[in-house]
Order: sequence, then structure tokens, then C-alpha cells
Amino acid sequence: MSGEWREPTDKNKEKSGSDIRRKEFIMSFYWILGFAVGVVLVAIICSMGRRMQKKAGKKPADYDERQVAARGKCFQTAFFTLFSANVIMALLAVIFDGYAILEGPVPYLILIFLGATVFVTAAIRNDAYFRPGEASKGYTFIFGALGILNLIGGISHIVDGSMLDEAGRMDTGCMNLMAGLFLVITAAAILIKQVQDRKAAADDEGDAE
Amino acid sequence: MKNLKLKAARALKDLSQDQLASAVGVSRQTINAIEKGDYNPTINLCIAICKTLGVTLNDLFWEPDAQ
Repeated sequence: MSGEWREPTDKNKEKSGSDIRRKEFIMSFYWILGFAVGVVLVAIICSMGRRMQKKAGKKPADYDERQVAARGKCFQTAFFTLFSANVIMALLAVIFDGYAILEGPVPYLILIFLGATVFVTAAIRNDAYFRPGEASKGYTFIFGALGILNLIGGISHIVDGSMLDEAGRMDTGCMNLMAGLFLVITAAAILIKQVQDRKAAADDEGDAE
Repeated sequence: MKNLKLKAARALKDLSQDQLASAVGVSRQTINAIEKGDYNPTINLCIAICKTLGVTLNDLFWEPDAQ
């Protein structure tokens, strides 16, 4: 009978509980499926790019000896940053009995983005991100464009409120914002390095003359 | 310590850092770092640079004792 209020029975409660669990399972299933599809797509694009480079005979040179050493130091810096951030996060989790403002996998994803940002910016600063002779111009555009797109996505999540869950904690909706920040920081670092390199090359030409 | 000998030998051959870097298979920044004394190259790279510039290891990388 419609409109008539009924006392929820144990059976109904059980049913609604299992519905929520089913919904959560479907949500996590689609989340994992989306993640897997993303990984597969990136792998396909990378292998296609390599095959095209191989066909065109444009295989980039390996990193030179200074770059290999510099990359080692950059990995070290990123590792210790990640390590320290992990300790801080663990302490916060102990003090506040869990993350008060972060939900599910978000703390771990923040740490991954932090480590990646530190490594990439340090490698760019030490001229150890691009191989010798590899053009960085295209990457500035790609990283910049992808970063802006992700930032727009992240801002739209903030506006429609989907970045926070019911408890007001940051949900996986903040991924776009983090990816956008990472990509824009990377693009900015490449751009700054390009300007510095252009100036250094011009100075060298001036010295030669 | 700056490696002015390398810079002079490169200038004598009329090569830019970029050209020398391409010839020895490293980045321009690596040649710049060697010239500025920020990076000590391995013996393999030293030999490659010397061969490209037509000089000996002593000419570029040996520092006589300051007495």
C-alpha cells in the first residue's frame, strides 16, 4: 500500500544492508575496471609510440653517465621524501585514529603523487629527465594540456561537491586535482629549464664568438 | 675547478657545446658541467672527448703540480 509507513523489519534492514554492500562492490568493481583499462591504454599507447620510433629509426639515445648518476640522486631524494611523508601520515593516522579528512586509498595516492613530483622535478632540474638529443618541447605541451584538463575536472568535482564523501572526507574525486597539479608542475619545470638552457646555450655561443 | 682547457680546445676546433656533446653521445648540459667543474667524467668519456678534439688526456685533464 503506497503512502503507508511501515516499521522496518529485521528482514528489510538485512536486505537494505546487502543492497548497500552490493552497490559498494559494483562501485569498487567499476573503479578497478576503470583503473585497469587506464593502465592497459597507457601500455598500448607507449608500445605504439616505441614501435613508431623504431620504424622511423629514431630510437632515443640512452641516458649519459652524468644523467644516470643524477637520476640516482633524484630517486634517492624522492624515496626519502616518500619515506618521511609516509612516517608523518602514519603518525597522523595513529594520533587521530585514522585519517580525519582523507578517505580510502586517497592518502596512498597522495604519497605516490608526492614522490613522483619530487623525482620528476629534481630530474628536470638536473637535466636528467630527457635523454640526450630528446626534444622536450612536445612534452611541455602534452603535460600542460593534460594538466589543465585534469585541473578543470578537479575544479568541477569541487564545485559539484563530489570531491568529498558524506562524512566530509576527501574522496577519490580529488585524483583529477592531484594529477592536474602534478602535470602542471612538471610542465612548468620543463618550461623553466628550457628558458635556462636557451640562455646557457646563447652564453656558450657568445663565448665562442 | 673549472676546466678551461676543454673550453679552449673546443673553441679551437670551432665546436659548440651542443656539437661536441652530439659527437661524444652525451647531453649539452654534461659538457657544460665538465667545463664548469661540476662533474668529473669517467675515463671513457674523457677519451671520447679527447679523440673528438684531437688532443691527449694530458692536454685536457692533467693538472701539473703547483710548486
